[in-house]
Amino acid sequence: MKHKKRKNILVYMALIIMAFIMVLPFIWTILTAFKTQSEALQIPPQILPSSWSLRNFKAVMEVLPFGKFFVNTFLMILFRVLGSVFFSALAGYAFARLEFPGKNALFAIILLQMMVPGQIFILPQYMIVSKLAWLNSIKALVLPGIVSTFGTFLMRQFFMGLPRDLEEAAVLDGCSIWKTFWKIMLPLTKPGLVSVGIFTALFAWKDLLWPLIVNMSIDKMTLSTGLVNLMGQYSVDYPQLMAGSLIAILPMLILFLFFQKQFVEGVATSGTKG
Amino acid sequence: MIRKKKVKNPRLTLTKRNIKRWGYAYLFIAPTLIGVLVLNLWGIVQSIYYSFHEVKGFNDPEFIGLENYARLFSDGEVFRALKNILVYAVITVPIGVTLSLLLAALLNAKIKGKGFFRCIYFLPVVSAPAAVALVWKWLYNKDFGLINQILETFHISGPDWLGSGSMAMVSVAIVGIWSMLGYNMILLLAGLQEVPKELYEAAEIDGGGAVQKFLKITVPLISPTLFFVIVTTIISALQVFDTIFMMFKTSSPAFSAVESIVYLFYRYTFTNYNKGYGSAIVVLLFVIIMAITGVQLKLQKKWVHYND
Amino acid sequence: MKKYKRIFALLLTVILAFVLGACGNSKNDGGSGGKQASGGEKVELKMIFWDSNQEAGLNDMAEGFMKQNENISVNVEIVPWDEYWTKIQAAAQGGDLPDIVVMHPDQVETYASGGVLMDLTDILDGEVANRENFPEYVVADFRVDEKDYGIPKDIGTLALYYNKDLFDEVGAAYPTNEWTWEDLSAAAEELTDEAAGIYGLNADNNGQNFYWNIIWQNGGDVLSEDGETCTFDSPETIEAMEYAVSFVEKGYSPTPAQFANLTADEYFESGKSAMTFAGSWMLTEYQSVDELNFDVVELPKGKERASICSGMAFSVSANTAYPEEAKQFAEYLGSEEAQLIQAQSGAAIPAYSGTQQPWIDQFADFDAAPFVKVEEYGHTSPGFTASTSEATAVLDEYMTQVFSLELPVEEGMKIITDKINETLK
Repeated sequence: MKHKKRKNILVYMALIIMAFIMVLPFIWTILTAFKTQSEALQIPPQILPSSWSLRNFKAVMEVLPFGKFFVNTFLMILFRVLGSVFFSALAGYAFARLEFPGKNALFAIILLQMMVPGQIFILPQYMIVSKLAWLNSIKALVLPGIVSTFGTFLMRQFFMGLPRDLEEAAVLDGCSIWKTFWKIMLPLTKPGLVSVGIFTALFAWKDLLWPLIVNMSIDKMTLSTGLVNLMGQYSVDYPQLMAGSLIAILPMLILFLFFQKQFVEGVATSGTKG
Repeated sequence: MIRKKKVKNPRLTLTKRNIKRWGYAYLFIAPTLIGVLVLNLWGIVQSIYYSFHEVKGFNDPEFIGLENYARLFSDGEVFRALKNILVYAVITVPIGVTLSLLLAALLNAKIKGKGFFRCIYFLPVVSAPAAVALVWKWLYNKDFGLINQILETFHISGPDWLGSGSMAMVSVAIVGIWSMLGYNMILLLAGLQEVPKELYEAAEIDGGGAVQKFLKITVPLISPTLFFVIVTTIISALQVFDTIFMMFKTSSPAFSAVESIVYLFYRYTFTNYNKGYGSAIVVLLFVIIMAITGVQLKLQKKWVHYND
Repeated sequence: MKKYKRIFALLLTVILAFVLGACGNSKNDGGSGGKQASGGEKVELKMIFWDSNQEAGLNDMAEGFMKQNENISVNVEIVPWDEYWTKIQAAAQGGDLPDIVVMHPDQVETYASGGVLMDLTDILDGEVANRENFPEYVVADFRVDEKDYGIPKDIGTLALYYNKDLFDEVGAAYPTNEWTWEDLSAAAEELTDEAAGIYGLNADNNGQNFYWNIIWQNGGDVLSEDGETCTFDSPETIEAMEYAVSFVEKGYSPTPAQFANLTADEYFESGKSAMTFAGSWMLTEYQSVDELNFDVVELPKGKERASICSGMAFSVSANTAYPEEAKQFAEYLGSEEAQLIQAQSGAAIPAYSGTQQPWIDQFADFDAAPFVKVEEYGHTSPGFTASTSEATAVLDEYMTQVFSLELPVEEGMKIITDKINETLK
């Protein structure tokens, strides 16, 4: 028993040290958000702010239309997630479990997209959006992310990890391909779906360059790009930037908090395997 | 030894039933495929096309054949950038993937405060890119940064994270691992959900230790997800750019030790308006990544367990 | 239950977004006013720039124009520097370049020769924004193939900033406008305090902010007159560079490795460097640092006076939907009235001669006149444009080694010259 306890303590210690390293930059962000510009620029750096006033948060919210940023970001994320999760699940299943000519070649084409740096798509995609007259709109923000090769690949892996007997049983029961997919296989990959959703949301949220290029007015900006407006060409108001980025994180954090409980603990694996 | 006769896959023969099946399949992949063809393939094809031309500024492309590639293979900058991303990948991929795997396993087991830890480890993933670079620059400051200050208390003299060529890539790698840890951990956690608990219990009864359980049960069963994590981590490591762009100036003494291929591509394409050469650089990276991914795909048969 | 949790999370996020929207003051709807045109078509012009610090000033100038032209509305867009040129490129190729684009001397050639900008020669020949009213070299910066593509907007110049407190502590005399190179070195020595980690001067590996100026002050140059040959290895230039590097050699300045950790501005702002060459554009930032007590004088004199004096300009998109109105607006932006508005808004020194006083006046704590005096002896940026940007890469590689004392000055200059000449061919 002692052996087990000691192991547990080691494990906890390791987790806590790692957690500290993960959180360190955030602690710094939070501390800086409460300082004044002079305090933030001080060398040697001052650790604690002299006062915990919310002035930076207020200032940032006045200068930037955070409400619009949130709405734009939310819509962009919503549509990208809906699109990519659904289409990735469909395609992932097909590549994992259906047989058809050209399967491997087509999968390779889809993988290709992941293998090149995203920057090469900027100009061509801009041309498309421009020709469609979608510049400066939510549609422009959503377009590049409506399908996801990353998601397709991930879902394929997930589907391939499921046992075959379920499908065979479904076929014997006379289920159509669609029914097999929708009613039986899909629900089993909830963790995969949620992962794809979370990551699509993340990529969308972090995307800096694309929103800047396709959208012109500040009220069509997203959170990440809106934040960049706090950085002047030569000077940065550090405390405001930190305050802004903290505000910007909130929705993602909340979403994650609820979903992680969801997919990690809520998935039933009993009885369907082995 | 029964020799396996090559049987034609019944699903691929031309029957009415099969065609109907194929129809479904094509329908399923249609949205994604069309999306990729329209949004992405054009960009890739265009890059390849440009790489055989001289495309400067807004001028029309001029065909120059393999000139860009000839230049590429004798360009010291390119070799340096290749070396840099190799260093970065060698540091971040093994450490990053192993750590994420351990974390996922640990946070899947009976540990108090799982939810809390998962949140903490996920935080870096949601952080604003602009803020992250700035904060890390401060942490890395040689004289005043928190990291060196902490090392001081252990009587270790902290290195020049940002100014010295030997440490610079390590600094970038640390930020890289930091930002991807929670990300991969979530993926692996999701994969772990597919491992039935009964298997673990059976192993315990058989007297298996934690390590045994891990290697013989966990790893094989999450190998599809693990495969995905490894492939994507390698690809994104080879494409590293944002962190370097935000933390180092081109005139920094450490710059030549951190410039990545994508940075080089960005410089030529967007800063120097030399799309032809920039495209050649990106094609080179593309070929490398394709090769590495191809090798991995071939190797997956050896260690990845799919339920076929 | 799980379903509800999910919906709850979504709802919470949506509520959060709208609550924040209610709190946040969306004052950014200004600029594209809701003025109803009384008869006549409503024209909407777009202007784009990179410095958010100047957004208010540009909006003021736009207001001035809109007052005189009720049927035209102007929208100012700011895109940060790092992304600005990517966006402009994309827009130019897609044919949706904003009507008024602020141009940079290093970039104008690419865009002008690409046929993306409109010829504005007649505006500069006209009455309102005549070329005589601007420093000749600034106008010349935006001249490509004998045509003018930019209406000068502002000038950025360099001066010597110094930390009064540090000088007081040591009992040294403040710099004056009459200083020479010897005075600068002497003061740098006096003010350097190794033990306290204080440096006399920021000798930064940065052409624009440091060494081009020193080169010019010694009568040397970076490129020949016709821009075809690199002259880094001319005796005057080598001499100047030796002087520039001497500060690092003698320990009066931080090294490039140190500057990678803390920028020159940060050294000055935190009181770790007593003097620095810095631009007029840094004033707002330096002022925001409460503990920094500084003043400004003209850069010291070498064999002659020299400082960078570079300006940005307003260009018009060749593809604009409203060529007449856009040109009208461009002309207005180059008028005395608009330039005065720019001066009053404070963030940039207007290019129009005689409008600089309001800009100087807004600084109560010190005399900003040295910046404006530079107009008389300024040099523009050496013209490393996109087509010669490989030259910049050469500098990044070798000049850094020179300043890091890894490469002797003379040898370094020879290598740089050879390599740059190669790229210029």
